[in-house]
Amino acid sequence: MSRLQAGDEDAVVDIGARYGLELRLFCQRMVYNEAMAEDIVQDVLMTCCRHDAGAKPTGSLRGWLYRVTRNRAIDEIRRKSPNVRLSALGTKDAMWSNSAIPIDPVTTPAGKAVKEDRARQVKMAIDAMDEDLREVVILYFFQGLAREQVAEAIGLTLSGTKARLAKATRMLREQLSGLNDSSL
Amino acid sequence: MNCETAQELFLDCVEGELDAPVAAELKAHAASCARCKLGLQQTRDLLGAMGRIKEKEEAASAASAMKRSQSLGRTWRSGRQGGRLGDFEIIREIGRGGMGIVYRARQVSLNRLVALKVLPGIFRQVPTAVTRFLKEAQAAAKLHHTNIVPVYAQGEYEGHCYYAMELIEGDSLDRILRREPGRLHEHPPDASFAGLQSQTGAAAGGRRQSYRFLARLMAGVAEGLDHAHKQGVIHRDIKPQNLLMAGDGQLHITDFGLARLLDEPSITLTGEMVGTPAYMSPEQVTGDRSAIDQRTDIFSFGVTFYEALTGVRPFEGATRDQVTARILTREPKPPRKINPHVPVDLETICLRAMEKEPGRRYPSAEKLAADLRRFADDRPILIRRAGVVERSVKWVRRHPALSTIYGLLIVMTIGAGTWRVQTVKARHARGNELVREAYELLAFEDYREPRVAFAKLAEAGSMGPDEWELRKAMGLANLGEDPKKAIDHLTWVVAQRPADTEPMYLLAWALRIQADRVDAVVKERLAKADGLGGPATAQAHFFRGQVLVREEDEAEKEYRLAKGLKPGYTQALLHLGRALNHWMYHHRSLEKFGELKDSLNAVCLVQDKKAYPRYLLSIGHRLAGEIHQADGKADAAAVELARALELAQDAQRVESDSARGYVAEAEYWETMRNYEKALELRNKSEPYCIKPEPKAELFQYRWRLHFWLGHHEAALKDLETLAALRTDTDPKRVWYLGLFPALVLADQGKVDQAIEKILKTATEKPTSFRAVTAAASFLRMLWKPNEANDLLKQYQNQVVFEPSGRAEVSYGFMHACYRPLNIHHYTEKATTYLTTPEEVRAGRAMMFYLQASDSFSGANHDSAFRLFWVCDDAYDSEDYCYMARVFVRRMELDPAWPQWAGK
Repeated sequence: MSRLQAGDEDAVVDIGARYGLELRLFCQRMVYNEAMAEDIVQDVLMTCCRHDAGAKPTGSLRGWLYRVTRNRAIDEIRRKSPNVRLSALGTKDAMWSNSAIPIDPVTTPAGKAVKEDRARQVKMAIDAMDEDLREVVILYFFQGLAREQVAEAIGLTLSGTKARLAKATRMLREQLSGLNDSSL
Repeated sequence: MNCETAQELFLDCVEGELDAPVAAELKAHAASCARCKLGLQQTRDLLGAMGRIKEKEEAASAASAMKRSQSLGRTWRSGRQGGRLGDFEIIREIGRGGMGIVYRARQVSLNRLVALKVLPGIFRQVPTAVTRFLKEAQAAAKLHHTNIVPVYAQGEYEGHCYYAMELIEGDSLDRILRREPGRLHEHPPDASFAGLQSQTGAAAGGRRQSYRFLARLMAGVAEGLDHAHKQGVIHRDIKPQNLLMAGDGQLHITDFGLARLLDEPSITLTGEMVGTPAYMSPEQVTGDRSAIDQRTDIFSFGVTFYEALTGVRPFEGATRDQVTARILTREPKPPRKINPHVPVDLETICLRAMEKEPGRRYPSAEKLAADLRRFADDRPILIRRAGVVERSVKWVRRHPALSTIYGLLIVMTIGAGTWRVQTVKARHARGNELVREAYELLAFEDYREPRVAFAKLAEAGSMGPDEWELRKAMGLANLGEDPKKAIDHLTWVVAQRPADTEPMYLLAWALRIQADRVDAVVKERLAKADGLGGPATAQAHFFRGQVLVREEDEAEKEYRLAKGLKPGYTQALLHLGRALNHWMYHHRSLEKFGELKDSLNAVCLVQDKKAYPRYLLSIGHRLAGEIHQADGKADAAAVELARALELAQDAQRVESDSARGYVAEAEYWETMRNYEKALELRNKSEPYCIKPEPKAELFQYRWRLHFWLGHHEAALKDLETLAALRTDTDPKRVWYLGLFPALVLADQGKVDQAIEKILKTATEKPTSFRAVTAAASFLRMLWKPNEANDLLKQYQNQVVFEPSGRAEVSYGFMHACYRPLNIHHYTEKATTYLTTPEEVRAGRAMMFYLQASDSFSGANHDSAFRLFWVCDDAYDSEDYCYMARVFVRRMELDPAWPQWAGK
């Protein structure tokens, strides 16, 4: 962080190597659009390079990076026509169908499909959430940020963040319990 | 602890974040409160599901990042370590994209700062690419224009291709659009996009002033392009990222000649270098390289200008394929619909530049620049908005056969010259335009939904359009609803226009629908049209495909030709997808699955409120899942099946009053052996199964669900309805009227009633070989071989064999039922007579089915099960697979089945 404040350019390269992937994935989760995610992260990393006074980071590096990225992503969501978010189908398809991850080979195809189906329901429920709840879910559960970092990224107090997280979890739980009673 | 407090702690508890005493208290509460216990479990499950999603997404993302870094990796490292590339000292990275990384660098020999672009490492593996790069860069280096970033040097150093340009200390238009769109509007300084859009910004005059500034900026770009085009250099990758705003307040084009490198097949194949397709022209999207000329740049310029005017991209989508599909098929939303302050003239200029057909765009960047300057100077622009008449002119141009008529029309208009004639002519033109719109809607979008088209045709009818055009459209509109009417109209059109093959194919199609097969009349029409040179238009290819719909290969070929002639031909893509579904069903092969997905996904994009393409796609994925399952690839199967379910539900979501989505999901559950679910979905589809076909299908598939679930009465009721829906001539009617009900009765233990029912079926149709042989075969399956033989003996001289081709099959069938020992011999023999693929398939399925029924009647349970299973799984013939499935699924549920009484 201090290297960045001092304008060390190699520091930016290191940031790209260290956080590039996870930030990209974060953007992708936020905006559902690979190309746009790529652009945003590129832009954020370039912001780090610039010597503008406004770009000087404060606080923890990871939290700060997330804050900048999150703000950019939200700008994009608001700027772009609504069809960007609505057409999440394609992204989901790519993520779900082309994954190289082997699925538990012990269970039957039917059982696995049901399990898959469950995960998909969860994913759809998350996609349908309001932006302010969705982002805490993404940041905390999917990006694996600590609650303090989530608070930093969304610019909220720690207790406010915790409350939002609890609300989001509760909403998801209640929504999903209505769908099916079989275990996940 | 109360429930309210407990709920707040669920998440912390599952994550193990609670202090021990609190955790203990919560657990104690949960032990006594069922609701909280469930809530806790649900939270645990939720976290588990999210963990799985997370892993999956991360793996997918890591895989794609790996692919990317393989192509960019080399340059990335060299940039970091070397710090030096020949004459250039690298200072730092200032940007990167598909075409490499740009560094701020110092040219040591001249001691000047440059922007150095280093191309990705993949280039050095392709020598022709290096040569081409050097050649292109040389051409680009010769360009000297205020609005083009000068190229200082280009070359290759230790395998790295580089390109040194003047260092522009400014932002790209892309960045400006994202961050400070106000900079594109000189006056007033505070007029940002937000201001303009919310109407709270400057007064109209100031607004116009700011658009003049933007027009001037873009005119500069067009002039730069024009200069390059005149030197024979096409940019091919105009987009906001490639337009840099320098200190002089002008936009400068960069990266000339680089996009050309993507033509190198070995590079394009890696697919990694290509950036966003959002600015590509239709001819680039279709890969028609010969069609690429200066007008490609004009299109991309138009898209860029559009974004500058509205702040959004005209063709947007979540994936590459979605974007390219929209470029091909969607007309951009007029900019003024997004931002009403955009001046009409700029909208006109922008849309003209973005015409899909190159011939309709500005012919040169010079003309484009001139119009932008005219706007900036407050003079009228030269092009006009496409009006009614002009649009019909364009249409005539696209339909050269009609240009004679149009010529006449012009002569008459000029000659008469009176207001009255002009009005009549205008109405006539409008009428023709409406007819054309209706026709295109039906031919390109969906012929089965003629409502809008009928409305247009009704309106056109009063305007005196060309009669043959009107009747051709009427013919097409009536095709699905009233083929007789369609034939009347089309016969008339064909008589009027004996050399036009398009209406001939249409007529052949209508005749095929009416006869429900390609009979001699249809064949004659086809031969005649083929003799006249075959289909001349995309839609004629589609029509021909529809005539030959049962000859899958031929139909597939026609749909592909149609799609080739008219990129983004929705209806052709849809039917191609349908044909490929059939192909997959019959061939049990995934060979064409990719094409199937591509075609139908493209249709889903365009028809975003239609269940049908999603239904077809769902079936495709389900079939793929079944094929994987049969091959023992359980993982792959699970993925495809899950996708099938998702698509089925998607179909229900987008069009909830269509049966398709529910049917697709029902079929999914049937594959999953969850018959309750399948039944539930079939029931859901019932209110929407109104037309006879879907209605019959509902009962045809529902009764057997009832049968498998042991709902005998419901099964019998469905069979009864089904038999009533079938006409007396339908050969399958005997199944539903007598045979399947007999099976259900036997399953209930009422074997005597069953036998009675079967015998009655045969007696009612003593001349139908199908009725008699099928009845005999069912008797055998109820373990009554003597009764079966008696029946066959009784009727063997009365039955009428079906005409040619089928006779041998029938003969084989007959003998098979009569002399079980010779089944194999006769069925094999029968199959040797079969010629068309359809007959061969049916014959093969029949062979399996008969052998299975033979084993079944001999109470050789295991063998019967295996053979029915093979028949069902071979997808050879829908009829035999259908029957085989009735048995095999029943046997699956109860290994001891059947135990007919009175054995």
